Parts: sequence; structure tokens; C-alpha cells
Amino acid sequence: MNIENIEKIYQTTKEKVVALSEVTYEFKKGKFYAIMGHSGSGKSTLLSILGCLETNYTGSYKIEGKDVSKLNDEELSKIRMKKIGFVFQDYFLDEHLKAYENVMLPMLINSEIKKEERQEKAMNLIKKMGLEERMNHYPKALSGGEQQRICLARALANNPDYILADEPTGNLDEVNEEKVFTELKKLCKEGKCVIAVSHSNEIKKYADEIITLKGGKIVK
Amino acid sequence: MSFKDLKWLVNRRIINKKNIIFIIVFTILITIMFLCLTLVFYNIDTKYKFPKEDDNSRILIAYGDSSRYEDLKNINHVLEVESTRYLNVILAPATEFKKDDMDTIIWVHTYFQDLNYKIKNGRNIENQWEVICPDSFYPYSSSIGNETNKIKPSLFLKGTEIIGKTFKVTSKNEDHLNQEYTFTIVGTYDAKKTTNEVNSCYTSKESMDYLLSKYKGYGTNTYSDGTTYEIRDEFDDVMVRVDKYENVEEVAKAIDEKGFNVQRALYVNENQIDLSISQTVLVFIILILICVNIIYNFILKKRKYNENYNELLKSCGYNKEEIYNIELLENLELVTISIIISLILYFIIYFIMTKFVLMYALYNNLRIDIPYFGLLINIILIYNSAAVCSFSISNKSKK
Ligand SMILES: Nc1ncnc2c1ncn2[C@@H]1O[C@H](COP(=O)(O)OP(=O)(O)O)[C@@H](O)[C@H]1O
Ligand SMILES: [Mg+2]
Repeated sequence: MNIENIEKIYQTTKEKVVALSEVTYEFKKGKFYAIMGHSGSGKSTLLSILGCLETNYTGSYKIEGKDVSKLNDEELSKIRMKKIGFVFQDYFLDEHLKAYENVMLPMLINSEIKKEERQEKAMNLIKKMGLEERMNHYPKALSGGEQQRICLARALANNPDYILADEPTGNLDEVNEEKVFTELKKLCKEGKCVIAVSHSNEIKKYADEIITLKGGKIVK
Repeated sequence: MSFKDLKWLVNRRIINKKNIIFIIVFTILITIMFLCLTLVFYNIDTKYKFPKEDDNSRILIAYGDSSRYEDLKNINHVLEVESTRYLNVILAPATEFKKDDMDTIIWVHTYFQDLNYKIKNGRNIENQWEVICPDSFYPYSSSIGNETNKIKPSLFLKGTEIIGKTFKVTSKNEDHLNQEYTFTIVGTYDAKKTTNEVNSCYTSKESMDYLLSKYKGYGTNTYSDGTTYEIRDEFDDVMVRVDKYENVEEVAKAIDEKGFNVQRALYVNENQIDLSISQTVLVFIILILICVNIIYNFILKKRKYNENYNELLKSCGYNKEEIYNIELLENLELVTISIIISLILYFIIYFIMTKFVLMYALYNNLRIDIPYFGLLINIILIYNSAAVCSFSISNKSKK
């Protein structure tokens, strides 16, 4: 993932907010990147641009050499599905679906995964997160840490190369935080690129590179 | 995303508090709409359909030079010209059918060949003192105790039960005054397509001649010296029986041209019906507007409520169309569930109303039909508004 000179301005009715400016960086597979900075420094904005959720920005953004800044919704959706896995601070699990069904959610739109394989794949991912016994539970019956690890499993559903996590441990205690970071680190070792936003200094233990944002700019 | 997966996802998510409240509100609304529509079509039927089916609407009353009444027979489409005397009925006390504390009564009318009633059981009248009665026969008054318009559905007699039964009548004819005669029921007719009261039986003109008074009425007049004398009011007008309802207008004109006064035997207050039609249509339109409003606001609210969920789907790689389809299918399913429950409720209410509540209609054989075609159009209308609301809201939020 290559971003160059990214600038993002939020235009509200009253004022312009420069959320990001002159942001240039290269993210490589197999590495763990930590994005740090104060609240409002542009971390989430950067992640949503990297995750192809936000398209209204200037600058160039290439994924594996392909310019994605000019793609339409359908093409971007494909990239999100195949290449990118998301984890949010607030878990965002579908309360109507069991844990393994939540993990299956991204597979429903992936024609490369056969219908019969979905369940097994989802269950394997949950096993990998050490939540074998929680497979058939609904989100309500899971603790915060468990929910976040289910989210991580869901982010991995379509075997993406990039994992984007926006304050994944923001609502978790230290024990669970460690578990999530450990999982993320494991994924790095498997060759994935992990980009995680965190306020916690814990993340420094796991990160290969630390990017600090201040007022929308990267500080060295 | 395959439709099967789409349906699976929607079905898993559909049961929640918001949706259930929507289904309840919407079901009530649609049921009221269906009932309202039934009333609209009933009013329309009253204006356009029932007069065609009611034999009385083929009868014209003419009044004029009695020596020229025979002339009227020569008018095209006229079947018979008879004294209006035969429009009167004979009331039979019908104590033969006494049951519990019910007031028994049978109305005996004159049968004209052009009535052409369909015989369901037994045979038609062939001899004197024979009658045919409704196939679903209720020889009781429409009141029980002090309550009017109350009837007991359980007391209806089946056609097969009443054939061979007899009942007595007393003559009102001046030549046979107070003499008793006995009628035998020889057959039953299909009263469904008539607006006859459920206790209306028919006998031949020959029998009626023995029973009906020769005069319209009696009165007294006083001489100038104070003594009184009786005057008898003759039947001085005739009924003209026309072959088809469609020809009544034409025949009435012809009668008028021959110099007679003419009026219809059955007077339909069209203004009243028109008012009823426009009122019920207005209520229906208001209901449709409320319905669209509810769907629109519900979808709008749900979209806000689902913002996080849709964002999650987006991050998983769902494109806008797929997210839209999930919403649309959920909305259509909710509408479908509401419609199905409404239909069931509607049929139950319809059944209870027509069988147990609307006694006046039941007694007079008034048919309140289920407007299947109207219901279908109504359902299509509801689906369309749901789809249009979904579509317009999703278009709005794209901008
Ligand atoms: N949708 C939005 N509209 C307007 N301003 C926004 C919006 N989202 C974020 N911002 C602004 O952009 C800046 C960066 O926000 P964000 O990326 O969420 O920061 P962080 O995640 O580091 O807290 C903040 O000043 C925030 O107020
Ligand atoms: Mg943030």
C-alpha cells in the first residue's frame, strides 16, 4: 500500500477541517504498523482512506501498484472484500447471527468460496482465535474481548493481505488487549500487513513501525 | 451475492422489536384498508350491480286511463301488465315453525314467470296452494324480544328440511274474508341473487287471488248531514314488468309517450349512494396516504438505525447495491408478512360480520362481496409504495 501526498478536508457548513495533509507512506506485507496520536489527529480518517471506505480525498493511493483513488464503488467493494479486513473499536457484530455466522458474513459475497466451505472456514478461523467453545453463541453472550476476537476472525474471512484495526483494544482490559495484539502479531508473521490505531503504549511492543499523527501530519 | 444468501441474511435479522411494531401497526392499517375497500365496492354494487339483479327494479308503475292499460302490453320489452294489487304480500303467522320464543312470520308474494327463480330443491309451483320458499329459510321476524335486527343464524332451515311442510294463511279477500287456506312448500329457490327477505315465499297468482284484498284501502267520508259512508279505494294503477333492467328506461319513456304517469317500483336514492361512494373512497385515499407515510418514515428511521450495520457491511466488501438489496428485501418481507396477517384478519372479520353482526343485511339477503380484484390492486399499491419509498430514500442518501 502506497500513499502519497494524501490530503483530506472535511467541509462542514461552517468550516473546513483539514483532517490529513501531506501524508506519504508505504505499508508492506509482513509488518505491523502502529498509528498513534491524539484524538482528532486524523488516525481514523487515514484508516478509512487506506480501507477504501473514504474516497473523497486528494493525492495518490496505490495498492500493489494499482491506483485505487479513481475506482468506482463496485471495484472498491471488491478490493475491500478480497484485500482488506477491518476491525473496529466497537466490535460491530450482528446480534442476530451466531459467532460463526458473523464470521461468514464477508464470505456471502465472495464467489470464490463455495457455499459448503463457508461454515468450516468460519469455524477454523474461530478456532484459531481460541474461541472454539463460543462458535454457536450469539454476540450478547460473549465478553468484549471475545467479541473483538470474533471480529478479527471475521476480518480474516476472505483471507485479506491487509488488516486495518481502529483502536481494536479501546474497550478492552489489559489481558484482552494483549490477546488481540498477539493475534495481530501472529498474522504479521503469516505475511499479512497489519495497521492498527491505538492510544495504548502496549502496542509499541508489537509494532515494527510507529507512525505518529499530529494535526493531520506525520511527525517523525 | 446469491438471492438465497440474501434471503438467509434478511430472515435472520427480521425479527426485532422495531420490525414487530411496524408489522403490528401496518397490519392494523391494511386490515382497515381492506374493510374500507369492501365498503367502497359494496356501495358501487348498490348503485350498479344490485339494481340489475333485483327483480323489483324491472317493474314500472303506470297510472292513467284504465281503459287503455292493455295498450301497454304492446310496448317492446314489456312482459306483463298486471294490477299493482299483486305487489302486495300476505303475512302468514307461520306458527307451524314455532321455536323457542321466536316470533314466526312468512311473507307470501306472487310468483311471476319472469322471475325465473332457480329451484334448488323440490320443484316449482304447479298447482294452487303450493309455495316455494328460500333455500335457506328463516320463517321468523327480524327481532328477538325488544331487539330489532337480530336474528339467530342457527335457526335457518335447509331446503331439504322444509319440503312438504305446510302453513296456514287467512284470506284478506272480500269474497273469502277470514277463510283459512293451507300452503304446502313444494320447492325451494335460490335466494342468494335476490334481495328478498329470508322469509319470502312465492305462490301462484291464482292462489293470491283468493287471499289479496280487492282494494287498495278503505276510508270513510262524511255527508254534509253528518252521516258517514265507506269508500273503497280501487287499484287504479298497474305494474309493467320489463324483461331486462337495461330496457327499463326505454319502456318508461314509451309509457310516458302514451300519456301515462310512470314511476319505478324500486326507488334507488342515487345521490345518497354517490355520497357514500365518495366518502368511502376518500377514507381509503387517506388510509393509503397514511400507509405511504408510515412506510417512508419507517424506512428512513431504519436506515439511520442501521447506519452502523451498513457501514460494517461496506467494510466487509458489500457494495451499495447489495446493501440496498438487503434493505429492500427486508422491507418487502415486512410488508408481505403484514399483508398476509391482514388478509387472514380480514377474512375472519368478514366472516363474523356477514354471518353474525350485519343482521339487517343477512335478513334482506343483501350481499356484501369480497372485492378480490380491489384487494389485489390494493396489495400491489402497497408493494409499490414500499419499493418506491425504499428506492427514493436510498437515492437520496447516495447524494
Ligand atoms: N465526518 C466528518 N465531518 C467533519 N469533520 C470530521 C468528520 N470526521 C472527522 N472529522 C474531523 O477530522 C479530524 C480527524 O478526525 P479522526 O480521523 O476521526 O481523528 P482520530 O481518529 O485521530 O481521533 C477531526 O478534527 C474531526 O473532527
Ligand atoms: Mg478515531
